[in-house]
Amino acid sequence: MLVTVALRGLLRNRRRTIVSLATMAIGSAALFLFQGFNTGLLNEYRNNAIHAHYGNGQVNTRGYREKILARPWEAWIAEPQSVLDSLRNISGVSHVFPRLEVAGLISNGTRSLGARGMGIDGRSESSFFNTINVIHGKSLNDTPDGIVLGKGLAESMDLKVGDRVTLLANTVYGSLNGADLFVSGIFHTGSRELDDSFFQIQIEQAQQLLDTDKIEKISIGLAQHEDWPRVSQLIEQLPYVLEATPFEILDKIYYQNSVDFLNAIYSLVGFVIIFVVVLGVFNTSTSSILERTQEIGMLRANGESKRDIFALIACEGLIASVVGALIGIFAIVFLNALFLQDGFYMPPGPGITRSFKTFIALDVGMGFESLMLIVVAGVSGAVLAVLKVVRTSIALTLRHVG
Amino acid sequence: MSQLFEANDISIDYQMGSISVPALKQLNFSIQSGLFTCLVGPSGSGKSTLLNVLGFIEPLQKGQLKYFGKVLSGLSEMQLNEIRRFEVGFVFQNFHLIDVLSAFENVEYFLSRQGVPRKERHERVRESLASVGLLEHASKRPSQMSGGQRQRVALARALAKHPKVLIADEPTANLDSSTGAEILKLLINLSRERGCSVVMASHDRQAIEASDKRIFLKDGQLDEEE
Repeated sequence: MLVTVALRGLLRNRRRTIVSLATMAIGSAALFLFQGFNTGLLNEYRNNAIHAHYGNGQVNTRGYREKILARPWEAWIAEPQSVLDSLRNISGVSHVFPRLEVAGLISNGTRSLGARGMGIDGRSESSFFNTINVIHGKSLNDTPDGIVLGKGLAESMDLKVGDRVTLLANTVYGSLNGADLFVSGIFHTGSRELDDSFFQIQIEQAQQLLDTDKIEKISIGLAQHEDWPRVSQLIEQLPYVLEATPFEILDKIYYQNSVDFLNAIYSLVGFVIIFVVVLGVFNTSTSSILERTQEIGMLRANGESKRDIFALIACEGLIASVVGALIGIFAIVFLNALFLQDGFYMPPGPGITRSFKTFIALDVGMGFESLMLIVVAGVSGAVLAVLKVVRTSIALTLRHVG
Repeated sequence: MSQLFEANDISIDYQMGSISVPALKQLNFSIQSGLFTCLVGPSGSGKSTLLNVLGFIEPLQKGQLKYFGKVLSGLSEMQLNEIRRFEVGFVFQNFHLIDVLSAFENVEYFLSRQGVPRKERHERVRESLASVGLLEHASKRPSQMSGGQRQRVALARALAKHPKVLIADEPTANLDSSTGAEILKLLINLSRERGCSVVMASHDRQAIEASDKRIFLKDGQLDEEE
């Protein structure tokens, strides 16, 4: 009976109910859309961090990342092939990528520039690191003496695909070594730091150049990132004294800070939206309650407690907010499917020099969260509106002149 | 016959800004249960305030009121709600029906709040509406009814609760004389046939004459008691 009265109460003044429903629909749509947009952005950031640079995580010898070592190569991974085989055998691991970092001098005969780069397994990496965005030539793949340069680095040395360069570096024993390479590709990640100073060569070239058969680290590709905690535990149980670090920590400055930043913005905007909804509902509910003051007095005179009145009004707020929120949520699902299914381009973010495509990533959990937030806001607004009337004496509410 | 109400020096003041206006001044009276009692007096004499006190909807400021021997000031808000819900029926001058519910639902609502099972509830609603002659209008909403019909729904609502006391605040004031007489007849029958105590404020000569007990008020004071 309470629900019947609450439901009929909503139909008392249809125009006011429509305004109230619209407030809640807009609120839930805004929350849902903004959260979907945020998640879409974070998915892109995550995808980019995993598939352009780090993989789902990285393996080093234990303590290598934290310590500053005078002779770092002594802490590199020895007998890499058996380690790589062991890692491949862990369920959930889809790719393993041996890597060796090289710092050296690139010379084109007339100009030399300091740069840092990575020795990689070109063939296997090309299938996984697919967002590195090669703009000229091709990725390293299986070109044994190729070098892929960042766009800024190539431009500052006036290098084009096919040009020859010499890469000079110190071996682990301190002597100078060099490799003659040709530019097989130029990439543009959008990160200025990478594009201006980074290069990739085959790992065998890097090992030869540094005169070592060790590798510095191994990037791990997973079938699904959610497996990381389990996989990292298994990696650390292998008999090699290894340490596994997820990409979120490796890319803390860019990815994790972006996540924290976007979540903070979402919280702030969410709070503003909820506040506006509470105010909107409070406003429409107040005028409705004002008209019903005598009715509330009559209900209380017949034994309804203050709590019963709150329950009745909260029930009205609940019905209106569920209906309003669902309208907003389904409107966004519909509009997303209709207009934004193929994604849209965003201008470059902080520290990035190229625009990127993103999507509105909606899911059921998000919809439920938006619904719940609007329900809380709607019920709160309605209950706040009735607070004053319930506190007034019954006789006074019965005497109220609307 | 037991004592329904016993008032000792009860007083109520209304605060109008910084001025305190006395509405009831040290009233002493008693009302036996099962009687049809009329509160009589000119406008502003305190009839409605006294009815509100006797209906437990106006908190007492001074003095003591006993209801079936229980001192009201000793009852918690929850106990007062229980009394209002199960033992008191109201008929207001302005009907105060829930305009989004039908006549049937208006009567049923408080029975459902009493926890009366659905089947019994519906029987009691039909019986109450029949006793006020409105069974055929059960599905109508208040906006589709005349003033007299609305007041009869309000009366049916009070009757269905099977109250120990029915408080009626000038129930015929907003009705034409013949409709008013019908309502009055129903109230008198209720008191006589069901033994329900009725306390009613009225200017209506017929009501005053038909009542078992009359309490005359003037300027918030007891003028006469018969």
